[in-house]
Amino acid sequence: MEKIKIFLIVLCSILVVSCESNTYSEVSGQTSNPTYEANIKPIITSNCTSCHYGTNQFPNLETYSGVRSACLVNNLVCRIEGEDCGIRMPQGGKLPQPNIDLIKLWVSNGFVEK
Amino acid sequence: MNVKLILSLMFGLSVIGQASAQDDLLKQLDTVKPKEKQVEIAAFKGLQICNMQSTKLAAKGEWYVLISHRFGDLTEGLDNFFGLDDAYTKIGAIYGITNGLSVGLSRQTNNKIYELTAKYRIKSQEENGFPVTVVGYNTMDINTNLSTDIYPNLEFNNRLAYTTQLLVSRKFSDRFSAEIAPVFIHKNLYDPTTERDNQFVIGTGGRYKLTKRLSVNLEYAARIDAPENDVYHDLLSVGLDIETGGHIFQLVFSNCQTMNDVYVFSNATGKWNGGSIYFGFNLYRVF
Repeated sequence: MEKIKIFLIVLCSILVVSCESNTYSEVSGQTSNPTYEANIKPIITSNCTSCHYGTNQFPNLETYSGVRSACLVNNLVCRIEGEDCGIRMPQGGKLPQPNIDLIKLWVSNGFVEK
Repeated sequence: MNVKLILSLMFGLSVIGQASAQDDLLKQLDTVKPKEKQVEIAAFKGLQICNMQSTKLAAKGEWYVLISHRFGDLTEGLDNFFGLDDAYTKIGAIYGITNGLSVGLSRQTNNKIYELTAKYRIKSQEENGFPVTVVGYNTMDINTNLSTDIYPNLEFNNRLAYTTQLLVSRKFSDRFSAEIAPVFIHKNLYDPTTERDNQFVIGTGGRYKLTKRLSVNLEYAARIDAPENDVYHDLLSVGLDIETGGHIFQLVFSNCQTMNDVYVFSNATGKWNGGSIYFGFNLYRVF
């Protein structure tokens, strides 16, 4: 019993101190010309479409045209950046800054699809 | 004649002997009992206060199945039916290896996080003895939502985040218990614009028993020296424990929607004064 306790405490403290941290920008790929297929779709899929699919939650963000129109008409960028246009999306936490920057770059580059 | 006399003498002696043996046992009980310090039990009814862990552990061989929900933003009203449209779910199990050590595994919706936990009692509160219960608690998160399509330089250890917690509770009376918990959070992946890789938090919590089966709980956790931003806030929750046979049902109102300890203590997105509030519940079933 006592040994298990000590083992667990040691194990946990090793785990805590032995792992170096990275920032999201360090693990992100760098690109100056993001495309929907290569860069934007993966971000949307892992953060948005669990709710914004089909008619479940407006707007639908499953397709290129859906995401493009959400940016143009439904304040997508404003909603992920802050709380000026309504509660911040996604729920549960702010998108890492490099993802927001990439989406903004994609919008200002004119929604390149492929 | 002689035989009868001997037998009756033996019988008489044995009766006296038995009676005196009984006296001895009773005496032993009487003398041993007060020497032991009685452990105060049940500072908290549930394994959690609201989001924070309490100092209660699963007993040896007990299985707890845990189902928690946190609904969406309550303040949006009918737009999302007071949050019921946007629920997060956590499902998991906790097993008591011994009375003083239990381990758990759970999985929650947000970021598809798996959380491994270990909880171990270091010292118990005693009547007229040690004043507090001290419990250690460790969690390790595995974020399975991170994708190498978005983060090509991602390594497995970037998915991990930890909390190390020391839970110190005191049962002040049958009705009132309080807890203080220094918490250390380490994230292997973080966004420096809003959070730290190493964050120290002081958690506090308490429960007040209203009736035998009902108690009201409160918790607050202050992040020490957190980066200034308007995204994340200190945790504040209020809850109601309802105990039914074999179930512990906890209703929770909190400014944190996510249910893994790393996010609970450092990434609460809501705000009680003019921000988002989330309603939800924890349901524990003991087997």
